Amino acid sequence: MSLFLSLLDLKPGEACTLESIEPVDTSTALKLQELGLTPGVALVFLRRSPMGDLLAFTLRGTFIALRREAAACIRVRL
Amino acid sequence: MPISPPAPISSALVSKGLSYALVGRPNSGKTTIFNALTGLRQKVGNYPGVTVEKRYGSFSSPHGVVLQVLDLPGAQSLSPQSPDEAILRDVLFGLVPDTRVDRIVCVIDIHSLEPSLYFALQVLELAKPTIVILNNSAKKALSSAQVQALEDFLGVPVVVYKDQDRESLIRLKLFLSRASMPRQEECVCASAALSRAVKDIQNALACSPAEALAYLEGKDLKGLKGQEKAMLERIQASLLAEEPSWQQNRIQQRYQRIDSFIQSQRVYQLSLENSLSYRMDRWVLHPVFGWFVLTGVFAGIFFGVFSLSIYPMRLLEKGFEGIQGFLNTLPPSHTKDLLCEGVLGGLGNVILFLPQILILFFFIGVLELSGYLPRAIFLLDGPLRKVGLQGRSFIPLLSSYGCAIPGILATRTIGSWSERLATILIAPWISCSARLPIYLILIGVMLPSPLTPIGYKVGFLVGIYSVSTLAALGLAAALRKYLMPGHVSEMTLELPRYQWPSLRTIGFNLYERLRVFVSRTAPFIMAFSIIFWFLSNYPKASPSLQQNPIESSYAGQIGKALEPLIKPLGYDWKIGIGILSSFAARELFISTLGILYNVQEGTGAVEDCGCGCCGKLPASRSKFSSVLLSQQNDQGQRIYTPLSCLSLIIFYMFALQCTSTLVIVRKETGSWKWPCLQFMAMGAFAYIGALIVYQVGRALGFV
Repeated sequence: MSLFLSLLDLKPGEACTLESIEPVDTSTALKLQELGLTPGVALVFLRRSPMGDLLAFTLRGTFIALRREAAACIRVRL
Repeated sequence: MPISPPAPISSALVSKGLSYALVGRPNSGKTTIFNALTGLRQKVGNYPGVTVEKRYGSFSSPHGVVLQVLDLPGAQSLSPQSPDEAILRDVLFGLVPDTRVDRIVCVIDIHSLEPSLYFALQVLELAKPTIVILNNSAKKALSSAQVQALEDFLGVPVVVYKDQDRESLIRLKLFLSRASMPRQEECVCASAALSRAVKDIQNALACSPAEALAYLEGKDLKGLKGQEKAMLERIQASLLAEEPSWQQNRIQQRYQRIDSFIQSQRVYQLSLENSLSYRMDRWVLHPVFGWFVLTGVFAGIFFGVFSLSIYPMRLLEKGFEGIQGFLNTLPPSHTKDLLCEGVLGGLGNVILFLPQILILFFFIGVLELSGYLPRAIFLLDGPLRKVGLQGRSFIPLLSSYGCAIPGILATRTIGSWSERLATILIAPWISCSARLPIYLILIGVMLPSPLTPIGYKVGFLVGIYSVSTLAALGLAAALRKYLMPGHVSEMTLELPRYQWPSLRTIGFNLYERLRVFVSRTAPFIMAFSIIFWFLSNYPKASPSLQQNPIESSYAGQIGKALEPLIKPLGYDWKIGIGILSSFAARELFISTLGILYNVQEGTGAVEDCGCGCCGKLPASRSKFSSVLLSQQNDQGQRIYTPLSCLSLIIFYMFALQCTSTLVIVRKETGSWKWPCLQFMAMGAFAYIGALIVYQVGRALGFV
């Protein structure tokens, strides 16, 4: 197991701390950071959308849902 | 920095007619504040060149000075992700003609304090005179010391606003009428490399630091050419070489400032896990129970629309009867004919369905403001992605059950162009409420009331809606597979906290829809009804001839000319005229047939079919059906047979017969290519579909 997990590796209800955003294309990375996904921020995974690939998290006092593709490039630490 | 009591507004500003831009994140309560400020003194228009709604209004300060306020679209940040968000930034930079902004009011929401503060910091970096409103409608209040700290942190005045609180509204208006306002320092340039780049651009282009930053981020404010453009690219390249992640660094620095502020003030603990929203979402977003909730909510809405709309519809019928009764007392004249048949018969039948549309939009408003809609998007994103759409396509499609036009406008929240285009293109296949009266009347003809149990009729109607919905989704899948394949956009979705919807805000929305209908749609329908009435009454047939006077009229002649084309579908020339008039708007089919067959408004008695919804139709509709049932051709055969009605229903399900929709699609897609393609393809599909149904039905021995 690698040292870092991605957001996809979490189980529902699990909390984590954001480590870094993998270098995907610049605009995606910027958009994710603007939402508040900056290094050191705390996240709790809530659940995955049915049949789909949205993942709901708590982030900075709000609930947000991210696409699988976006969540996959976010490295976290438990 | 203590905030001094507001000084009276200076005369220089009065003569200028100070204009405020109201900005904030989605769900920040911005629109509620806009409504509270302006009341009914608001207007809705469009920004030049784009169809983003421009809401603006005015209000009087406590000193009696009239101030303008512009409600800009909500956005997550000033880096645009959709056309709605792009207009926000363009307006703030003064790039939009006829839209001047002197000062900015930025709304921050206590429920999403951190993202709100991020947005506010971005706005403050524009270095315009700014005031911040802390929307504090929740129980969780900040102490006055914390508000003071927030003021110090942002460096601009902060006003606490509570919804439905007169005192806080007056305080807000006082703040807005201040003569002068502090602004943030010009540039928060985090690194030496960045501030050097900003300086270079400032020198070369003679602009403010905020504008220089916008150039650096790739926004072309002036339409640069040649030398200037090359110079800008050179500066961008050297900045990127020196500090590759300068944009990310700026974002992180803003959040670091916010984090340290939140920690120093202990503003709140992250206690979402104990919140009501969190507990509700365990059920609402549940992979099994979530669907029950979703189905329940939308079944409830459709039932509510049909059962609640009966009452205003009855009232309207009564009203029309009154007018009809009055008109009948007038001496016979051409004018009386025109008023009775042209105006009342045409417009009246359309107005009758207005309550249904308004009630549907009331429910959509409740869902939107309560916070359920993003949850529905969350649940439906998976299924909709299977047909090449995405969760955000849901609201446009839902609105399209009322009317395709607001549906198509609602696609602006979809960031990816191919998904947005697919949603726009399929929206006309979702059965809009203008088609409902046509379905109901034709079903009434196919399944006459005393003979068929009401369940069959309801079942048939549900069938029509299901088939058209499935066809629309199938079309989306086909479009995305063959015409515009492309990878699905990355999407983020915020699930705001649940809250009680503000009835006031919904009320304003409905009022606006009603106003648009009265001022734009109704005159159009009325003009068309009058023109059509003229065409179907002139030239007057000579009384010696034993024929229907309509047959010799202009409309009759057009219909007769059209007959060979539509005969294979089972229609006669009168239906042909009806279809032709539908191309202006579908509602006109009913009003046209009303004029053609001279159907008067009903007696107001209600036919009781025993079912909850469509049984209690206004009597005029069942009367309408019976008039159609009694129509015969020259050989004494019924014109409206079950088979020809079915063929007509198929035609109406699939044909795009709405000029307004075509115009909106043209505006939203930017070219005539898509509306033309849509019009022809859907027309051909409808024609062929109706042809197959009629001819196959005949071959199988149905009539």
